[in-house]
Amino acid sequence: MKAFDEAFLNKLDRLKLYNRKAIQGGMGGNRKSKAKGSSIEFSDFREYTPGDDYRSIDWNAYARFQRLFIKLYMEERETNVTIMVDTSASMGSINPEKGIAAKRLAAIFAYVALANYDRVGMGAIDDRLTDHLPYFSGKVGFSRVLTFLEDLEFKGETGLTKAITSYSPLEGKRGITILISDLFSRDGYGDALKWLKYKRQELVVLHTLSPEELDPPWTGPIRLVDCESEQEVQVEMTYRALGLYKRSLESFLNKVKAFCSDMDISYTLLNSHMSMDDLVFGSLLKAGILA
Amino acid sequence: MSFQNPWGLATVLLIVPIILLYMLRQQYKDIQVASTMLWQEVERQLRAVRPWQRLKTRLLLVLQILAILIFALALARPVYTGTGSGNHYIAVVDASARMQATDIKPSRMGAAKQGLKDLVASMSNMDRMTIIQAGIEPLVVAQETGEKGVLGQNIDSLAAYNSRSDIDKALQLAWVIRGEDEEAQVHLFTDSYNQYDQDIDYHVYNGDGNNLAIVNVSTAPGEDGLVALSRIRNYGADMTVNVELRVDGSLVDIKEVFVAGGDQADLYWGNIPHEGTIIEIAILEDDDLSIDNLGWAVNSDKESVKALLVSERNVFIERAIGLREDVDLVKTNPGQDLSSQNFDLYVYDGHLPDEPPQAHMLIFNPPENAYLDLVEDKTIRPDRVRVNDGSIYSDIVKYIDPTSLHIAVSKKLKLAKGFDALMLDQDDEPLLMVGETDFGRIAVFGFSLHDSNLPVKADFPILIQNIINWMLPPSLSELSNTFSGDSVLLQAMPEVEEITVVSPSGREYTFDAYPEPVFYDTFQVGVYQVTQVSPDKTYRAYFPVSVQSPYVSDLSMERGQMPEELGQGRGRTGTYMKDFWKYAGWALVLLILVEWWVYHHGD
Repeated sequence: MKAFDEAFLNKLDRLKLYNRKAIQGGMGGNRKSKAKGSSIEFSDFREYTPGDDYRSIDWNAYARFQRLFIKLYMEERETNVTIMVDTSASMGSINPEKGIAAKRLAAIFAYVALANYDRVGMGAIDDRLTDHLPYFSGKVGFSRVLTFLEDLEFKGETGLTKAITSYSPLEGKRGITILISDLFSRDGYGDALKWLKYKRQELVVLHTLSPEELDPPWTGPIRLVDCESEQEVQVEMTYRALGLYKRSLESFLNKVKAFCSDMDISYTLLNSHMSMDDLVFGSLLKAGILA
Repeated sequence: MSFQNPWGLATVLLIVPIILLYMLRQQYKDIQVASTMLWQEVERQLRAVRPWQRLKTRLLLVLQILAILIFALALARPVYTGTGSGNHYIAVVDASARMQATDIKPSRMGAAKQGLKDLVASMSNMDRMTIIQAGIEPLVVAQETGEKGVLGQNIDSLAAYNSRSDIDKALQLAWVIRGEDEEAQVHLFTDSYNQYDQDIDYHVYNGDGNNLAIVNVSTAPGEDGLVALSRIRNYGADMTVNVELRVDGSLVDIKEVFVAGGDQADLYWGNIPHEGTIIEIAILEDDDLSIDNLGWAVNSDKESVKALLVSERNVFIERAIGLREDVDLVKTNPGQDLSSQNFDLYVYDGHLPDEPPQAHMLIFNPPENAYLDLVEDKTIRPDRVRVNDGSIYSDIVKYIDPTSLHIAVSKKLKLAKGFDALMLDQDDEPLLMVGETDFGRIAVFGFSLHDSNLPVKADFPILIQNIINWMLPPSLSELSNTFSGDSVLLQAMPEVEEITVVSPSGREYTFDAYPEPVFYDTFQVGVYQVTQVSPDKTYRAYFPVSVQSPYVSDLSMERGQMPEELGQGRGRTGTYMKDFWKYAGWALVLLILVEWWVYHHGD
């Protein structure tokens, strides 16, 4: 996958993941942490106890109060960014454009996270974790992301709940999880997202659908074959049938949006046919997922 | 309500396959999709699962069945038959050349057409009209219809021929069409008033026009070239006119001549070059009928026919053949070899050559020979002689009286294939037979003229001329009295396979030479060219076609008065039929549009 040219990567440099809450734990990074530390941004005072860093003692306070206080600073900590890519057949075997869009989105988020000194880990899931890239930091490792994404194949059935609830690399690490999927999951998506929230993940759902899924172009009698389950549906594509489909799609999207809103999950619907520029500088910026 | 085409109702059967198509699931096109999750709900609602489904009442199905019913109805041509004020008009329109006369503007035919249109305009919705064009043969140009648009188009297509018309025949046809409908009105649109027995409404268009006509053109050889005679007849008032002579299209002379009304004038034109072929005489002044202002004659170099008489000396044959000026007769005795010369006709008297000539043969008292198996070794003595009127060659003997004909003795003739007996004895033994062979046409007298009183009868030279005319037909150019609409028999020259006729307008007609074709399309006046090509020679002949005077040229026929009530639609009570197919057709178009809309917007 020749994902990006240099000019595009330069544009990505100006972006960073927008995280509305400070995350605790981890090593020094660019994200605000609840752990008070030694970075330059002042946060609070507390009385000196043996073992504290002498350099943190506020000597002006000592002069005024005759007691030793040390300055507390908001320490900027690095964040674990987990990017989960749905690699089931529905994401790319029928419509390669959709799979490419998913890979590019994953690459964009990985690049932005690395540029922000965050740690990035990746997982390819269908109804299980099929492959994963361990967490690492540093922009120089971006090529590992590209290689990982390049090798991904879209096959198997979608089972988001089963795959995510058994996602072992996430154990004990709070952070940000970005899920790139069409959410056409046999076992649903709700339990999976709830589990991630339980695992203290800030969640970003990039709901990726192809143009054919958003606006079916067919007419006449059609037998639709599910690429994952081989299940068949016979439909005569009249205006009426297309109208019913659009109603069904709208209902599905509204349910997803309502669920994400309730769960405080960032949600964006993306058309895989959109160019990367439009995706990044249009949809994602507009949705506040990138800033 | 009745149907003009009840079989059209069979179209209703199309409803069966339409219903089956609705019950039978269609062939679906397979398309792979990422997920059918959302489509399952759609399918549930559309219920498109089983190959056969219970027939449900759908708007599309109803519309399509309705369309089939209307289509079947339209094909069946429903007509409403009832009694009321509907009339059936049968219009007979004279299409003779005289209707081209312009003494009524724009012409008699133009005025007649307008009159007919007025009659159509006065028809009520229940009225119908049949239009018959009366030419040499009547032609129905509009079959009983009440569609005024159709009638208008048919009236516009009416045109006068260059020939006479047979009004009687057209009226007979009108009466046949009228049939049992005694209330039907027959309207005759013509330019002359002839009282027919039947109840006819006359529409007469005649302005007593002035007209001069070339009634005759002929040529004869003169001392300093050809001489042409033209006769001009005046069917109107006294008039002085200029007349021109053209030879092969080139102007040669113009003369001024006074022709008194009702009289005729002869014009002689001399010093016409011998090589001139087409002589055209034209009256230069305009009159009310221009079609007869031209006349033609064709000067054909009559080629003399070469005939060889092989006889011990038979003066009867010699004289009978010698009556023909165009026959060069060469006489010789049997055994004298003249085979190196080609003759068009060989006459053998009691003798036949060793080798048959490739030409026509007239044989008297034939001996036995190998190539013509004509006689048996027997003689007969006829008591009575009769002619065979039923033969296809009976024209040859049509002026022959056999009752006073006596034949003492004759050889017994064998009626070979291709021959027919023209004269027979009491036992039906042939005495004279004619036929066509590979060599040419052959006539065989079974007896010697010396054993019969035939040569001293007046019938003999007639019989010989008839035989020679049959063998060597007169040139087409001698058919000087061909009128427009006449048929012309195109007699083929020897070894010709194809005959081509070119009309004055340049249209070309090609015919097989045998059987001899008849040319019918002589409706154009002018000079027609006939070309026949044989391996050795091209024969070219011309025949002029002109209008038939005085029938066509005399415009001053008794002028009739148009009955006042004509053209007003007198509203007699009678049966009428109203055709509804047009309305059914429009309803069908509308239904198809609705069906299209429903299909695209869902039912």
